[in-house]
Amino acid sequence: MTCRELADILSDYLAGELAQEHCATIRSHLDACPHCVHFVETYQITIQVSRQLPTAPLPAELLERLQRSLEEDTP
Amino acid sequence: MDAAPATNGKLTPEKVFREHGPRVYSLARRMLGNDADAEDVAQDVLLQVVRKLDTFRGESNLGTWLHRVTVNAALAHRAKRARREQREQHEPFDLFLHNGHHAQPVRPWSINPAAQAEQHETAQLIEKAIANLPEVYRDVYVLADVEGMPNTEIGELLQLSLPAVKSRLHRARLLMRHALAKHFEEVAP
Repeated sequence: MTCRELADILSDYLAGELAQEHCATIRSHLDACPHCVHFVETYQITIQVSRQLPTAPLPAELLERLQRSLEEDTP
Repeated sequence: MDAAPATNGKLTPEKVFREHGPRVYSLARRMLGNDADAEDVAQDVLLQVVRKLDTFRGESNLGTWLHRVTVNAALAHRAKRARREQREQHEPFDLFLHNGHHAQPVRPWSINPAAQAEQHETAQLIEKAIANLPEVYRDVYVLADVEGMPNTEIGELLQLSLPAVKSRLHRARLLMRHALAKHFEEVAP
């Protein structure tokens, strides 16, 4: 297995969707390739930090526009 | 607009803006990649909801329903805008040589993922990397890895097959990893 081949199926591997034999091949590659170990770690960190992104507050101007629109709706 | 869900409890415009507005706005901003378009979409979605408040019986499932309506509104807004994708289309597997090895050494990152995304500067870097993703990858990435939506729901929403969702998501993750590596990689010894 090459590094590129590992990258091809990394998402399925991490999702637990690969057959045992493929998982064993990946683990064997990781045992011998520190670059791929870092690659897998940082791929996972990328997902982790994205999941923790804070929600942006509504801009004050938008909130004012929304409230004005509602007032205009009121007869 | 999709049919409104049956709900329980008292809803007011202020409550909808306060409790659901930020998520609607954030989702639209990440999908559209700019503040002005996101404000237009958030305004349309939130006004449509509050003008129909008397048809709601509460807010259970309102968040899920709003999420779906916001995605559809953002996609429609983008189609109307009809702006060509101007960003360079990256090929994530260009990061590998023909012999299958990494084109450059891969180093560990010097961040603590458990705390970093909450820090303003790091969050800005991640938001910028998301905004720079090609749209075809960005939609799937935002819905899956920021919003936590299951792949099957993303497929329904974006009218994509499950393999297409998974393929786009993987490519988006590779591009995101590459973009963030520039900022987070440890300095070579």
